[in-house]
Amino acid sequence: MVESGTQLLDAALSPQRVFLTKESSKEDLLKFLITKMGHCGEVDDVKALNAAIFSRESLMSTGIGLGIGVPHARISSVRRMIMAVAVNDHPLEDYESIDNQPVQIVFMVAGRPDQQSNYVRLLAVLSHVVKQESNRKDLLSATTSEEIYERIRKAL
Amino acid sequence: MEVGILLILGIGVFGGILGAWLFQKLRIPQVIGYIAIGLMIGRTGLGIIGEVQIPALRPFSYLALAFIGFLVGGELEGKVFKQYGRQFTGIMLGEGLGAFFTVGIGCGALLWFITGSWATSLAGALVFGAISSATDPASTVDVLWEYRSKGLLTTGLISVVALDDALALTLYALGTTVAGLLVGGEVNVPELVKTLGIELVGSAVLGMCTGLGLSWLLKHSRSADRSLTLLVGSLLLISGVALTFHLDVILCAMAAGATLINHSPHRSKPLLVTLRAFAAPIYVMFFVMVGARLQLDAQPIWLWGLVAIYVTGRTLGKYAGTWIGATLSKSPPLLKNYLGMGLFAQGGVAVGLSMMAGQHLSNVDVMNGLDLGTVVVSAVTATTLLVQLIGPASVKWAITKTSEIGRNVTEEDIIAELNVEDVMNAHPVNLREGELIRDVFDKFATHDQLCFPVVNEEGACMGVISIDSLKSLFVEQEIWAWMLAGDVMVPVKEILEADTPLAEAMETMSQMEAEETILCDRDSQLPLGIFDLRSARRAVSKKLVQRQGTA
Repeated sequence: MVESGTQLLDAALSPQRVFLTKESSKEDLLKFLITKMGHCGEVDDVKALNAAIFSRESLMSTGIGLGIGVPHARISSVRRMIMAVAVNDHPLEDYESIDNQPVQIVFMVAGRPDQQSNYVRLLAVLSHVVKQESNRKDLLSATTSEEIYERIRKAL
Repeated sequence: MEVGILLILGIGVFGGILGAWLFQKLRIPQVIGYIAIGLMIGRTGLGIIGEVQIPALRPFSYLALAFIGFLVGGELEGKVFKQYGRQFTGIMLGEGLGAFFTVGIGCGALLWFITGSWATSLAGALVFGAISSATDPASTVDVLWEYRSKGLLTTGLISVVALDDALALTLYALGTTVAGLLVGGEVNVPELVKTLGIELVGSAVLGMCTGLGLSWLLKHSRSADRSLTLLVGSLLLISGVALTFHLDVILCAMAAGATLINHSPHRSKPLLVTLRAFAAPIYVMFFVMVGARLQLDAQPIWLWGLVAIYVTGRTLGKYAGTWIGATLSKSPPLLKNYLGMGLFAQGGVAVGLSMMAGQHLSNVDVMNGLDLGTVVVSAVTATTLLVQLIGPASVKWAITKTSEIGRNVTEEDIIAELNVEDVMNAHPVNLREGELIRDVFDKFATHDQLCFPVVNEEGACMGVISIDSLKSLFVEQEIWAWMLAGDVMVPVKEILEADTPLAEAMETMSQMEAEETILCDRDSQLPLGIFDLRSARRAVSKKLVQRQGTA
């Protein structure tokens, strides 16, 4: 069943997986988020998630432009679709976005192989949200992770 | 005794199947295999089926004849007769009378040479001639069914073999009447004509009434099982009634089949298909019995001369008679040149008539210790063996030459012959897992593929993208620029192998509500092909049209 954007986000994201980070590179930021996702109890094999996320990046960077990164992967060792968000304290120059802009906001999504429809829907919803400049500014100006979480929900 | 008969039935059916299988390997019609096994285990061979068992199994043979007659009758659709009735009747008269005269003259001449009596030789000539005019519908039609033959020649053969039994019975009645008069036996001519009339008309009336009754019953039958039970019950009844009133079982059943197919064609066609499958082991046993019954004892040398003359004369007479009948009735060249080749088989009717002649002519001496009745029985038995070996092979030759083999096929037959690899797309266009969704849509637009294998750098299959899996992306065009094939592919469900039978594959796909699937090599994971139901159905339809051709 394909769920609405709000339903999908509510199911995939929790305030505990929203972070204000101070990482210095794309790799560090992705590893940080992978580790945090691994602690949430929904990932059976963190190494597999790490391999899948970096394998996807090797095909093509998930820097989708406008300072946004959406690393994502589908693997069977994830029990349900989950998401983590990081707003870094500075833009990361090494993200290799499609518009060559540095990335400061990262949404990491991990889903199961059989969740294709909802997975695509969630990525599309995120893309839609961050396309609006006001939403991006709201996220970048947040000072706590709770604030970021609330602003993401509000933007939907 | 009961166990003995059941054991014999088991040995007969299994042995028959084995014989058929061996003969089919040699590209010889299966019916010859059944008869050969019968010969091996019957009177001539090991004697497993001997003097005790043959009479005990006789009701079984009558039932088989009723089944065969009914199925042959079921092939006689009125619309065909409207178009070719004159031609088929002309050919039937030509081939029947052709055999009657050639066999009669040849056998009569030899008998005159042996006996020096013109009365005995003329009596023998009439009886042999009449018996030779009958063609065995059972083995002829069995070959047509075995090779799924369809076309004008096939229709002509079925019609002629169905009709010429009536001609043979008439000729026999006339022949024995005249023979009886010639050799001074007691023959009551009006009584014989009356008996013949009752046999022919009675058989036709009983058959037609049964056909109409069945048609009414089938209209009220709600299940296929019930319909089959009604039909088998009717055939058992009709056989019993026919035997009680000395009617011809095969003619009765034929009339019933023809009446039913013309009265309720839609209801009866699927039922005839079911009956044919149901009757298969009964046929096998029937033909095994035909072989088992044949007895080739030590006979005088000249009797083998009689056999040779009978077989040669009958073969020439049937072929030439067909040609003449076809020419006079302005039949198409296909019927004129080939139909005669399909009329050589001789079976139950001829053997039955020879048995009757054995009684009628037992008081006519040919030479010391040998009467004309015994000569007829021995010669017809030996010729039946010979022509049952030649006849089915000739039918096969005729339908092969006219390219009618394999045309009587249904979609299910074609599906049963194919495997997944026969209909799959073995050279699919692949998608790389790093290919942008934008480009994936382009490929869907430019290739006639409903799904694409997604492969990695090594070419190994990682997943599959179908139109269905792209549906969710139609409205999300903003992500087409950064989503990849690998992001939206779904895992390959290895539900089929290349050698999976098509019927099984279609059933599996239907159960999984899937329209298409990818096949990958188990070891290398390289994509082998795409199987999709739409293309599979298209390939089956194409093959069906090719096979059926134009009649």
